[in-house]
Amino acid sequence: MSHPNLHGKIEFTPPARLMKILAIVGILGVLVFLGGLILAPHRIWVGYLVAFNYLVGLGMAGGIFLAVATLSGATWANGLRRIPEAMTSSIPLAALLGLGLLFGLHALYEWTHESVVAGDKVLQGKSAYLNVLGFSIRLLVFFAIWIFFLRRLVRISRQTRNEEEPGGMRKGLVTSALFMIALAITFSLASFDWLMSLEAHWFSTAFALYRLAGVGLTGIAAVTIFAVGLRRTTSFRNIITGSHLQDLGRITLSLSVFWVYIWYCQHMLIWYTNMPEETSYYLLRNEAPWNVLTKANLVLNWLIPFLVLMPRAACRNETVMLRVAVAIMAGQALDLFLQVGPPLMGERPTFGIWEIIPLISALALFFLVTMKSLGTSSSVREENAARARGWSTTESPSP
Amino acid sequence: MKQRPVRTEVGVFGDEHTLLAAAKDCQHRGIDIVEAHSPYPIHGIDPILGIRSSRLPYWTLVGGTLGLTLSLWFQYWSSASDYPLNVGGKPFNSLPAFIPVTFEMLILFAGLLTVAGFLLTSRLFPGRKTHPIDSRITNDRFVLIVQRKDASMTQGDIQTILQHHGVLECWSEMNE
Amino acid sequence: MSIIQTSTLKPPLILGRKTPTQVTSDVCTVPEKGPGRLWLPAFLLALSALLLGIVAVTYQIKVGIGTWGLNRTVGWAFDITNFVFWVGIGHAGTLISAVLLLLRQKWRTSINRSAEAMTIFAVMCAGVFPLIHMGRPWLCFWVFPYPNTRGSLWVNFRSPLLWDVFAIGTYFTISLVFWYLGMIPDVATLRDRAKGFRRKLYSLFSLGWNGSARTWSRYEVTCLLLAALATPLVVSVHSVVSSDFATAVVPGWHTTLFPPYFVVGAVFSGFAMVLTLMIIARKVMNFEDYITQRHISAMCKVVVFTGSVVGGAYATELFIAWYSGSPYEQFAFNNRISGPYAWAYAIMVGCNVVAPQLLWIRKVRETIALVFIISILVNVGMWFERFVIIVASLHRDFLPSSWTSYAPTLVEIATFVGSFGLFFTLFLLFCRFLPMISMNEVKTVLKPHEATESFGKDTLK
Repeated sequence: MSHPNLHGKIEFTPPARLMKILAIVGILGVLVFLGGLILAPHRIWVGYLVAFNYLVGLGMAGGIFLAVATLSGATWANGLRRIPEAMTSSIPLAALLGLGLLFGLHALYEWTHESVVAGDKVLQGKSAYLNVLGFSIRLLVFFAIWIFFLRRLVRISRQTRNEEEPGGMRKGLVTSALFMIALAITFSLASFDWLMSLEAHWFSTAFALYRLAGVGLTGIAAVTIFAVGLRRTTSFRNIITGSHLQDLGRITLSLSVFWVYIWYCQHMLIWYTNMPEETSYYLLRNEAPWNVLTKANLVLNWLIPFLVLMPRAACRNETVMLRVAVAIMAGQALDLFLQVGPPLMGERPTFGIWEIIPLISALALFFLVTMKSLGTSSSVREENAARARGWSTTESPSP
Repeated sequence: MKQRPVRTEVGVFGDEHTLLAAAKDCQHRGIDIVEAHSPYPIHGIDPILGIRSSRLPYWTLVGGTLGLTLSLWFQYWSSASDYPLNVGGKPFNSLPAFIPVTFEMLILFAGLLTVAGFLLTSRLFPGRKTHPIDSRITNDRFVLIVQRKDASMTQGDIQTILQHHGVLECWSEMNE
Repeated sequence: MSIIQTSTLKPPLILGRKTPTQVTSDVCTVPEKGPGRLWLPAFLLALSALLLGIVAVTYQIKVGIGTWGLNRTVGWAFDITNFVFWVGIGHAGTLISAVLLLLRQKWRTSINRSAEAMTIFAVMCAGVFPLIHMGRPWLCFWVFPYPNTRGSLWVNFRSPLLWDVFAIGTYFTISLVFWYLGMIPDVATLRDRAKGFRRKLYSLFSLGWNGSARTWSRYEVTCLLLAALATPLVVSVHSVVSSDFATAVVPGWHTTLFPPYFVVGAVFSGFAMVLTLMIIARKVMNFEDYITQRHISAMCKVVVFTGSVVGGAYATELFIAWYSGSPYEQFAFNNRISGPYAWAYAIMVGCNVVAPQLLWIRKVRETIALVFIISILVNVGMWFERFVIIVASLHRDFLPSSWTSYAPTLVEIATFVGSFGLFFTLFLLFCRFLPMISMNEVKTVLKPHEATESFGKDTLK
């Protein structure tokens, strides 16, 4: 067993070539978006909304990881903290995309069309909530709250390295608890605003929880990808141990099962009661050709992680974990596409450059900012490395 | 099958750490570790005793698979094939509505088979006779049973090793 | 090797610097020498409540369930409220024994045995209500899919009420097996200390346990596997119970959030019940060194967390009822808040959402009397939650001409009291005759620092 380098700094330098490629892909995305505004104004916003929600989810997942780890006293996760800390740096970028979204409301949301609302009693009833001004203000407030909390969470997470400082611990606990409360409210409303209101007549109380489960699943997959990446390229191998991977695998497995549980609850209850205002949601999605994507969604997000990660040994295998994480990342993108696509595309899914490029460049930008942030924050002080190592050994599970 | 009576050395310890240290030392000196008894699991003893990772998860897997397939098949067969009834306009084969019962049966079969596997492989059953080496094993005593491999080592040698590690009592036993 | 951190923050799990020998004698005292003075009066009280329940149940089976306050509009009321209440209570036991085992939360060791016992007894209490509700309980075997002379006419697998049978049945079986499995080593301890008839009895139930390392190794694997199975099981059970309501088209019942919301509510009420029981038990049984302030604080945190989630679910329901634009949904929730059962809604929100918020404050968590009061309030509030969901949604349905109200009869109240009698009678018998604290698990957490350091020694050598 190799000894950790307790006295040297453990640093991560983002590979310059990869960063360059990511930046190019990011810029390409901006160009494609601008081109799409002129060439395919109705299609580009679908891809934009998917990319926006995906980026928000990844950034928020970093904050949720930090808060949950602090609240549950998960000392095992300390060696991983740098990764979720870095992931939150994509939220300012997402906020920028959010501002851009305000220009696409008319193309995306039926309730912004005054002529439609004028002839629709139900939409009139909702107009106190579903209106452009309210939507815009809420979007700004959400991001303001999120950026405020995420900055604090990251700062505390970086400061309170030594767990024996109760003051720092207490501050972390309070901030994490307040963040979770704020998140419950803001994230629910955000998911109603940005996704559920695409089908303005449809409603489901489980929708926010479904989105939250999806965000958690994407987030843990992203953490896994970075963990494996760091293990392969840097001396982080000594800090991110096999038992970290195993714990990540166990969490991935449980979140995947939780995600499918919420999926099933919503689907089964709507299928069972068969009420017209609710079944409309599944009408397109459960019929050909969309149903193929619905099934693929279940396979990528639940069946693959569930079957592959069930044996404990699989969770300790870097390659297996990486592949499952990639499957989940793809699955969650598909899941978002399944939220956004049907109401805007109708019976046939269309899938081309306008749908895929915004998503890919958002992902590229996510990796770019996260790796940049990891590069600046990764120098781990010696006692920190030692502590992370000490905990990861003492907290390793019984065989 | 008749076996030669074997002489084993029994050492009683006050905690798991001294027992573990003694067991490692004995193993290092080429003495066979036969068994250990304790009031709670001793972590770290498994490799010394040569206990392989358990195959009980396979019992769980088989039970779960059985529960899943049997209950899913039975629900389909009774609702859609043997006596199809229209209830509330639901299709005869109502897969979404069959999931809960299928899941419960999966858990039931998997759980019961796991426990059955545990009881069978550990040969635990009501009325099983126990020959307690020390009745305080279930209270606060840790017992190590070792067996010498060759004649070069005497009973006294082993007891010296055990005593070096703070054994509280030790004696020899003849096992059939 | 100073890099192994010895946390100075966390107090020991078990107070009084106990040795394994002391743990054995402390826990075995009650089953061997009898309980303290308070046990017998408590038992007699519980037994009288149980007798009252038996009388009430006998009467209503003889006369019929016309003795209840149900009517054509309100077809479910007191009985199903009690059913959901009791099933929910049980969930904390499984959570403590299974989920906390998987999460390696060691504080569970001194309360998991009694919490699991609570689960089993609560599920038994729950089972009584649907059984009586059948009206002809002697035909209860009709719920099972057995070959019969009616065609064979099979049970309707599409019905959530049938899912209940399977969910509750599996839950009871697995909980019982898990509980018994956990007790085998401790029964062996009692066996090795007993003589005569008691020794024979304990021998029978300890299955010849000899504490060998091979058996322990398999035993730990079995416990982990069962925990991994029990965790999704406990979620499924209350989800199925919630489907009894959510698959109906009744406004206020049909909402997609119901399954997870019921599960959290069940954990919430269950932990409140564990708190209530443990605060009494540690005093009466002299287990203050085992069930410490740290345990109470940990459970308080679970209560305040789940209570807040339940509050969030209430808010989501209200918001979506308005957002849906459906006049029926909107009416149902307006009626809950301001209709004839507004008082029940106020109790529900006050006890479930407002009262537990006090537990954010450390001082409150450390004042046992306050924790006890809050735990009782939560129990009351969660009972009213089910009452509000069931009765307040049913009594004013789609047809205003059939609107009515509901009040329980004496028979129903006596049955409910009887279910508490059953629960406490069984629980007190358990405390009296079985090891109430899991000795073999508590012995492993006596010296956490020592265990940690030895692990470090091993790996760094």
